[in-house]
Amino acid sequence: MTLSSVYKRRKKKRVVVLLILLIILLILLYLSLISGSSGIVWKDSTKLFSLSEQDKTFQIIVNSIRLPRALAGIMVGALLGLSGAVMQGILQNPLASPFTLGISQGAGFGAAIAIIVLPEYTIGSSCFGEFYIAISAFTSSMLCTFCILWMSSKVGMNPTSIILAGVGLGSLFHSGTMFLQYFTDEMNAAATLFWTFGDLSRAREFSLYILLMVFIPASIFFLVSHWKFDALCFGDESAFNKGVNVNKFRMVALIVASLCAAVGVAFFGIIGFIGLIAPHMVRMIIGTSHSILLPLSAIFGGVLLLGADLLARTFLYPIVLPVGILTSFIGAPLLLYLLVTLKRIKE
Amino acid sequence: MSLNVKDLHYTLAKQTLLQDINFQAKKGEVVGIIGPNGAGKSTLLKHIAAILPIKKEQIMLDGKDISKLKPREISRHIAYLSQFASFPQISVLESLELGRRSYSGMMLSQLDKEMISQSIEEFDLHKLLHRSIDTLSGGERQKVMIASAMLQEPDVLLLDEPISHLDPKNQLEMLSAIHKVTYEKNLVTLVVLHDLQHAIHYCDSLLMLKLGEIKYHIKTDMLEEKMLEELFDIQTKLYYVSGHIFVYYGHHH
Repeated sequence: MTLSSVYKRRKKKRVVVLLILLIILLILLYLSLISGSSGIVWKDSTKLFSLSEQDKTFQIIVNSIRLPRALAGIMVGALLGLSGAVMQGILQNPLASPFTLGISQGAGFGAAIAIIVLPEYTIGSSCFGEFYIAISAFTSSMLCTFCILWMSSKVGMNPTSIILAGVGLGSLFHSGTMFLQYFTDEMNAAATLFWTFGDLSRAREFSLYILLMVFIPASIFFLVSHWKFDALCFGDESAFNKGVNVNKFRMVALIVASLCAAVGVAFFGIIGFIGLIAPHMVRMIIGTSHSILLPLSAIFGGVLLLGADLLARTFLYPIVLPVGILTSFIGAPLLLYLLVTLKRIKE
Repeated sequence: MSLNVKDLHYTLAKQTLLQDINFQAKKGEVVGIIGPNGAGKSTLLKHIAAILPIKKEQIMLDGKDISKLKPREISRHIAYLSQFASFPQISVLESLELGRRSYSGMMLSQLDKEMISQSIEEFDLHKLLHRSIDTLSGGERQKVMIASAMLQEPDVLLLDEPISHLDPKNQLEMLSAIHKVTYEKNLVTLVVLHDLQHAIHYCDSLLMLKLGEIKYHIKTDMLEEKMLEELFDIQTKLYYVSGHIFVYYGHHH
């Protein structure tokens, strides 16, 4: 086999998988736009691009509610998928996910502080209140991440110390949240709990812009450094010898990956499993080369979350489930199923 | 033109792992590093590769101070193969590409691709190209790792027990390949070996370490029985047959 034929074959395979995922994503986006609380309404398809006055109300619903929600699903899923692939690559641990660094527990604690300790700013469902909670959740989860990095930097930034510090601090933040919930009234405790259910109905235009502002530079950074993740697969010493400043790269990549997950979680609550399973599923299909694993994990994360949200909106009609409940509910058995049956789809 | 190691000391948790390490190795020379377990052989290689901390002017390569270089620059001068094999799910082609990343970063140039193509020829990797490292045998993996290391166009090649997991045939092939690239590319090659016969046969000089100190640094043909006895505390006999040295060792009675 000549080198050029191997390159061609590799490129072809990657393009095919990329196209398939993009097509699935577009189909899901389309279905999201024509689905309401009563399920998929096929006859609404024509209304989407119609110019008639009668369909104006429908189009307002689509533009102000369904489209932001679907785009938020894609963006948050992509951020979580990307973040998960990065964490697994950088920590060389298949169990690593955005939540390994205490993102969710940190965010939960931040939201609890905002809702319970400073309720005057967050009461009611005003945009400002939501934004305020998001800022508090984001700050708290990034604080958790920096604490973990600071602690593990004392013992050489190795993956084990990062994961252990993550588990420890995550638990500390979680108990902090429970402490606050215990001493507050039922309303606030319920509000805090409800915040933790990841829910895409909180999508607003400005939150989408913020997600995009994090996603674009983060993806560029990760794509430029894709080979460093490959090098790390051979161990820290080998990676250093291939030209990777291991500790520095690990720290910067973890901060950027945490930022990706934290911004999604801060606005939409805790959405589990996407960050863990999206990279695994992509790896089963295409292998571990990070030049393609990272972008595909992002797209697949978007596919998974958008698909889960579509299901969450329709399958218990008329109840609309928060998507966070559904991702954890289906994510775990899905991962186990894939592990047992697929292992890896051969060429 | 040479590698100079000067006044290297290393202590970890109050234990001295290396002390007073001073030696020089010339280009086109295979230096065998031998010594009992815990002598500091791997630690020495990791210092030369700058994986463990080094001080100013401790490791000099052709007058260049390695401690002042960034990882990507070090990668272009020194290639290091770790003792502990890892088998990631990375394809052979990507492993080879990693050898060129310190030059080109994310996008490989046409020159890089030509060099990879040459390396595939040289190490006969055609059949393995589409395979992933975790599906290769120990011998195949080492071959890919050496090929990837050579793509770094290094001046120094550091190999930590490169043949310890290989069968006799693969051991010989690997050592011949190391020998060949050292002369052809004019490298300084330092190789940690446990097999004394291989060390004698394939190395131009021997660096003998014990308890973190260099006991002897000699041309291989100057090897004496008492040196090996002092190093390993075992009875040793050397036989000279038609220009070759053969070693026999057994327990002290």
